[in-house]
Amino acid sequence: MSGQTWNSFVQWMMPVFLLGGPAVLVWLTWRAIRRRRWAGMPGGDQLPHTAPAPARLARLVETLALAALGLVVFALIATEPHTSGLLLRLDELPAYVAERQKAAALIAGMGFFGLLLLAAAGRTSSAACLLAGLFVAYAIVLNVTGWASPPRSGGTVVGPVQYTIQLTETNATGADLWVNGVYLGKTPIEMTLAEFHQKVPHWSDPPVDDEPLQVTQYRRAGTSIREYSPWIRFRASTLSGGAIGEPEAYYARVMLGDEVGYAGGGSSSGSGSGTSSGPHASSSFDVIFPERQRRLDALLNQARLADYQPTAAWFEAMQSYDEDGWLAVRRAAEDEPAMLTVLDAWARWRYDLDAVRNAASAWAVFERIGDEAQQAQQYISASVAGHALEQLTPYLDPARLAERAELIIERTGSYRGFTFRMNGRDHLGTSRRPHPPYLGVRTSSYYIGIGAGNELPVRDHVLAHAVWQVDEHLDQRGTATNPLEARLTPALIRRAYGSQPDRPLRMAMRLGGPVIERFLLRMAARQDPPSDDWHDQIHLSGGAVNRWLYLAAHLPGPGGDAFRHTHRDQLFEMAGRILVRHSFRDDDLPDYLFMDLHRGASSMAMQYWPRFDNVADQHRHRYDALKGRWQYLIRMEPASSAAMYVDAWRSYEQDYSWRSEAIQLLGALPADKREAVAELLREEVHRLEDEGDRQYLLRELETLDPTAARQAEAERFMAQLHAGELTQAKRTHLVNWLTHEAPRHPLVTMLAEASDPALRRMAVPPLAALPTPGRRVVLEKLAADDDAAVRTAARAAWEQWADLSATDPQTLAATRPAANAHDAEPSRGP
Amino acid sequence: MYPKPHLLAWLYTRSLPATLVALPVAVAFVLLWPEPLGPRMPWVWLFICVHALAVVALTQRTATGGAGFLYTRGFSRDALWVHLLLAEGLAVLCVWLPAALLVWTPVRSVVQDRWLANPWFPVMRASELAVPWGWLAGYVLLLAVFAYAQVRRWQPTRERAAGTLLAAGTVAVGLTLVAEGFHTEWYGYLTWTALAVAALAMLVGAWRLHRRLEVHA
Repeated sequence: MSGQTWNSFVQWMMPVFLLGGPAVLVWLTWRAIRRRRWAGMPGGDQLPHTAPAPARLARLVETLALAALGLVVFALIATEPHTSGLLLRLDELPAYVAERQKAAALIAGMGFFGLLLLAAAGRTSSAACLLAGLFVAYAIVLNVTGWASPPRSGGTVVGPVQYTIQLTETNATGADLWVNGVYLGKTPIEMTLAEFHQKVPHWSDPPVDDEPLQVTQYRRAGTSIREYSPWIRFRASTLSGGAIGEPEAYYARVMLGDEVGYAGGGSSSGSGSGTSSGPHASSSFDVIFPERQRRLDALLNQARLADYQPTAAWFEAMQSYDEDGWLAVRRAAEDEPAMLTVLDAWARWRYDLDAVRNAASAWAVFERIGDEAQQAQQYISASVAGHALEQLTPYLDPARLAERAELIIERTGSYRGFTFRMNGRDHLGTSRRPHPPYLGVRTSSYYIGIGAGNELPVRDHVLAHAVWQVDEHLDQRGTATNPLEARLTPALIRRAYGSQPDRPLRMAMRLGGPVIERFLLRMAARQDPPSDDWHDQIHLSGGAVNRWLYLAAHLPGPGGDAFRHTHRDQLFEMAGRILVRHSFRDDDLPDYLFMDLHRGASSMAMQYWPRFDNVADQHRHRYDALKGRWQYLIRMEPASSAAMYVDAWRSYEQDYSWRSEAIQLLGALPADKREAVAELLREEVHRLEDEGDRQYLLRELETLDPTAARQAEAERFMAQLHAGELTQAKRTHLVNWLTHEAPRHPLVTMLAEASDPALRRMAVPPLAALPTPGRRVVLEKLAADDDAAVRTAARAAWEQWADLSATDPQTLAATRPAANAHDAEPSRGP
Repeated sequence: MYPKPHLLAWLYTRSLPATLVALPVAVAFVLLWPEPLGPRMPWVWLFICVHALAVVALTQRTATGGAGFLYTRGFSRDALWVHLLLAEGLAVLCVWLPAALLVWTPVRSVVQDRWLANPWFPVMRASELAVPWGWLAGYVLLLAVFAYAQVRRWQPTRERAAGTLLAAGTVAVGLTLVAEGFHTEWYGYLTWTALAVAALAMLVGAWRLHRRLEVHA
């Protein structure tokens, strides 16, 4: 027998030894007890050996009972993931672990069946003892030995390393990918790391960048040429002796249909041992498709030209961009809120919302959105589907929503998703796809484990979104009865019992109502002083504090307000404990300090300010303390005064360059307060001795109000233009900058209204770049201008718009598939 | 076969000591226990286990208390078995029903809410409504298992301890489930179905084996 065969034999026999040993041990003990005939022990039946065997009925009953009890235990051991029973998750496991799980279950199952035969033969006692031993051994094999468990950590990898490659900066899928000249398939790529290294050769030298894309970039300060390489450098983990090694450089080329993808700049790689799915590695890199982006921009301009009411063909073309389609509309809406009406129309078209007239038809659309989300394994509230759901809000039946949500709250044990801000408001989302969407904004991912139960399915994130929206709708209407509050807050409180209570209770607080208020106020009253039990403690950055006091302090409404007023000293003491290790870098101040600002000078925030100021004074990082103070004062608005900001400024006398970052925080202030603070700060800055610091900080203060700063900049440019201070080259650059980078700059309108025809002529290209209704009116006026050159330029722009309007949106769709991807394989390069 | 009230009453009185102890304990517990009642409370299950064992042991004892005499009075074995079961069921109901009614009516909730100012009430009342049914299911299972063990123990055949071992196994499995809970919904269904099958088999087995019971008068 060869060494390898012997090893294989030992591996397969291992569970037999491990499972059989304890079973035989328990049986031998039982035999010993019976032979000794100890008085009172079940084995000591004091009957002679010649006594008749058990009746057939007794054998049948005992076999059945043993089978039922055994089945319960066997199923528990085999499928409880917390004790490594992974028989129902074999597809998530490395192959060798899955094999061992199956082998252990098969042997235990066969032993179980054999012992049932023994019981049927009239030896129930022996069978029961052996079965107990067998199950103990089965549990030990899975849970203690680690023999059938996935690898947890450590450098040496036992199983194959799963490897994924995905594109970022775009949501385009199905792009053809070559790495170091070898075609790997369509993105996202999934393979083993060994397979990757087997297929892809390593290049010691980077390829020659023979065909970069040159893009002229028009910045305010000047023009530059940026080169985008079709060779995309990224890093992939190596494999050395079965272990994941240091990553090394590889070079990818990407094509989407017949369009070349270019390196967007960023790339990342990672690897991990995994917990249940085994070791894995991944690489991702930014890719841009300039032509695709140009088509998408053209589609947006078509929507503008259609007064934000595009046709069905336009919607179809936009849908071909998947996430990138609605994201483009959302991004445009940041500066152009009218774009959201496009999203309205899109949602109406896609879900036939015009036909929604009552609760029943609204519910049908709601179900459809849920089905689609479940099928796509993704739901994002900012998407067209999410936007459609928000338009359904007035029609959705709150009682029906509450009924379904109550059931889901009871059975859900964990929540997974992400939140983000877009268009000035909060959004939620979840994605169970291997590669979550690229949203282009900062997202906060969360995983909340509450207790027993399933993870919230994607479909029910749609329900959560609906509950959130309908509750807000009811609150705004000020309805006397809110079924969502009445049914869901008790359900959430019940879910909080005996589990991690924070998240369900915070959800209940978000819904609000008398039930959660009464509950938290009574809990807070009961836990005084707090016990050491984990259930009564919440761990924050500063240490553990009384959970119930902390939660009650955040109660909205009059009850919470009265509580904060009554327990002010306790809450100040708690704030002191929270802030003792406050980093002053993050905005993690206790929210409850800022919940009674309507009290003005007697508000908690104002009363606590001297103590906070004192804590900040003792902080070793003075700059962080300045930021912390200003964050506090901003949250305290409008109670804080401009002088308080300046006092905080005076307390910081070190590196002035850091102050510019702090100054940006003031951008969050209301315009009048911002100007008042800036005015006082300017006085402070003027007192500085160093001219460089003084000028630098004054410039920073100027940028506090971007609108005013741009207006001032426009006026400066106009003054220079009128004075003839700008050369023709500079004028050309100014037009290019406005056209490509700043078409919304107020200078464009000023130029269009200028008395000098040369200046009016300069306004035409930037106006043409963004055909919003308002700008079309301006261009229309220029098309009838007295000056022939202005008139000609404006009419040419107008004709371009007419051509764009007449373009079939389908020609602007996301991809133009290549005839044969392999034929279009790019060359390796030298 | 018609119910014989005197026989039932006589059999019921055999387990009366257990009832007299268990009833006030159960009522006081249900009224005063501050935590919301749930399906996985070890002390409750221990109480049910001990109570069911006491009821079966007291009702089905054959060696003392005149049982031997009863078996010579001309009642058929089946009639005696049915009355034994009825008496055991009645003894359980005498404890379970008052406790369940305190939960189902708002009495427990009102006591906890108004008198004891327990923050969890009345919110948690809804989650407690199903709990007494779990207790009853536990009683049914344990009565069947203990009854079988008792009957099997007095059979004139080998392996008399088999019923006792199975009863011990059932209690061990039950305590494991109380500790672990049902990790998935399907596992809960599987467990209840398997235990129902086991209980039914043992109940039928005990009935048929009771016909061959050895009574030591």
